[in-house]
Amino acid sequence: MAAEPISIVLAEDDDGHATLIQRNLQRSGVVNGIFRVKDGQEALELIRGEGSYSDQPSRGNVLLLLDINMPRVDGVEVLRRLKADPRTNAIPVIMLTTTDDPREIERCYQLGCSVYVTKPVEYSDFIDAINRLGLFLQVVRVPYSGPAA
Amino acid sequence: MNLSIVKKGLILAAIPFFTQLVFLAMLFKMRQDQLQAQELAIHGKDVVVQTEGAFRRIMEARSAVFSLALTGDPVFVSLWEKSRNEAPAQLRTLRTLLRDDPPQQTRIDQITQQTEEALTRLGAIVQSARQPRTRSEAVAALGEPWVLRFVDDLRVQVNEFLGEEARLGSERQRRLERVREEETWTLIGGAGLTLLSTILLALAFQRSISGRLNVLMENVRHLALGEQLATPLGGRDELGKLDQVFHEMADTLVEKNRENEMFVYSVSHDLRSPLVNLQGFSQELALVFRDLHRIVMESNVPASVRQRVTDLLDRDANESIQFIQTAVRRLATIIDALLRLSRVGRVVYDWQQVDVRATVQRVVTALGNTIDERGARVVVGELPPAWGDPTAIEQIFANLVSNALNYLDPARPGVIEVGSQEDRQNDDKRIYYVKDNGLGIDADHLPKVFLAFQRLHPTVAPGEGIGLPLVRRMVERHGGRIWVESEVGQGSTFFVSLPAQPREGATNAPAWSAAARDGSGSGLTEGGETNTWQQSRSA
Repeated sequence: MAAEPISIVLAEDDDGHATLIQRNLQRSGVVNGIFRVKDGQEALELIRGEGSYSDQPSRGNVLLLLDINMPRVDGVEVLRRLKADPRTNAIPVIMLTTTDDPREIERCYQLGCSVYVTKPVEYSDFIDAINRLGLFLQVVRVPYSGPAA
Repeated sequence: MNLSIVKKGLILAAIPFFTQLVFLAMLFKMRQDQLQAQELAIHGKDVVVQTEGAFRRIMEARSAVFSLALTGDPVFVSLWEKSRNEAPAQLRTLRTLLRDDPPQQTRIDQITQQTEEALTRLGAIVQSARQPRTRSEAVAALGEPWVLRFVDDLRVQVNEFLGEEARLGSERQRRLERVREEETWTLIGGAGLTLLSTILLALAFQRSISGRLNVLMENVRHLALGEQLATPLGGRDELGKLDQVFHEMADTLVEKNRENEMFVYSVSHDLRSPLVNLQGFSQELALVFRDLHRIVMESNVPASVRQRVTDLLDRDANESIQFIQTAVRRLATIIDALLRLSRVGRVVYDWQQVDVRATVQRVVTALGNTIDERGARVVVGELPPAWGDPTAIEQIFANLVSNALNYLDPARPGVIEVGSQEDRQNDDKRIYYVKDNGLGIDADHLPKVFLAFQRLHPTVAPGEGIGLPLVRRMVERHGGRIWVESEVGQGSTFFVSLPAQPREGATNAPAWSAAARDGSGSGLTEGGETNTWQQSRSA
């Protein structure tokens, strides 16, 4: 069965960060579609096909890049809600944030995030991190477990 | 006891006061009894004297009558009259003396009555004796038996009376002795009672004031060392309230401290976010300039234009980006230093016996490359074990040794000595020192060396100036002290005192470190002079 390449949902409130991540992902060879949302609420609505995205089908075949500090619903809460819902608990979630508080990281792993990446200030490290993400994205294939294909 | 200290003090003063007051009252009462007994004894003597006097007067009266009857000499008439009048008078006096003793008074009344009868009859004989012609009648009357008998009867009665009086006297004497004995016992008992009440009050004072003051002082010490306070003191007196306020203050301090560290922590993180953009987009700009440079070189623009564009790109634009990136890096290291400073207070210490010598050997081995580069020699002396957190103690020595290495004097071969000495003021502390023969610290700068972001030799070694502040925080969390002695051109010695034994009240959970232990990095040169924070994390 030919697995369809998954699309990437980037939940990031900082426009600059979002732009840098998108540009560098593309530079590192990621060809998947990248869909950017500005906060956790929007990310949930997009994935579930609710609210402002109710005209679109819910998306299960995605990978979520999640910032922690966001307005309305923060990243940790989005992670918790996705993992609590059997329709969305298989979605790979990558936490991407400036926080390196060990308690926060521990909590995200306990909730079930796939990878935790600390945004380094040093640009080359940032690029390295994004490149590793790109590699990760190329190997990950997610069987879609949503309600309608 | 829910009394205020003032009330307790009043009780302390009042109890001995009342004890002594009661004691004094008892003494006073006894003194009265004794005086009364003495008075009675004297009174007894008076009675005897009066009785004998009265009896003698009667005998004298009788003798006068006999003499008168035999001689007819009128001088005996006056003698008779004198005695005859004095005897009843003395008996009346005696009666008044005995007014508080009715049985004896009755006896005296009888004696008085018989005396009066006898004297009346003797008076009649005197009348006849005064006349010469009737004197022989008087002599005959004196030969009647009652004249002799009444004296004998009277003597018997007087003797009975005096016997009774003597019995009463000895009874009084016994009472007096008993009163004296009671007085002695009361004195002894009173002294004992006073002593006992003093001891009891001292104990009560110790329990209610001194003991609790000690707890309070211990609490002050615990707070100074950042340890858990003892359970609150009971009681609603001033000490109880003081301790309660003190606990509240400690809680507030702990809370403020945590808030402060959380504030520094979150602000530092918030500052990182824009830095990512600054660094990222300046790098993006660099990429754009590189592409522009390539395009200009490949296109067919006039050489002069190409020259101007490449000059602008290579010189001005690149220089600008370099400055931006240097500034960002500097900011990032400062923010990182703040994060690490805030973390030192939050990590939970794993208290145990630490082999300081092995720890310092590990530090020296880890710094081997630097030591070789500087051509320095590190001498590790006798280092007794300390009580503390192994990671923190390793960081303390790593910082001090690498600091010493960084500020060696290039003019002479560096020698760094790590040793220990006894703490003369504190048996439960050990003093360790790291001594170098480096550049030394100017006296003006000494007070600043343990403050954050103070760099004394910015040109000698890189760093953000938080190594020593971090060491200070760690030493203080151990309840220890850090200080430095230094002379410019001679070198510096950093002293650290650490606990030798587990402290009372030192728990594994210091009051304000609720945070989980941060396991990042080996801990070597934490806050040291190299910026290593990115390597300590991996995606």
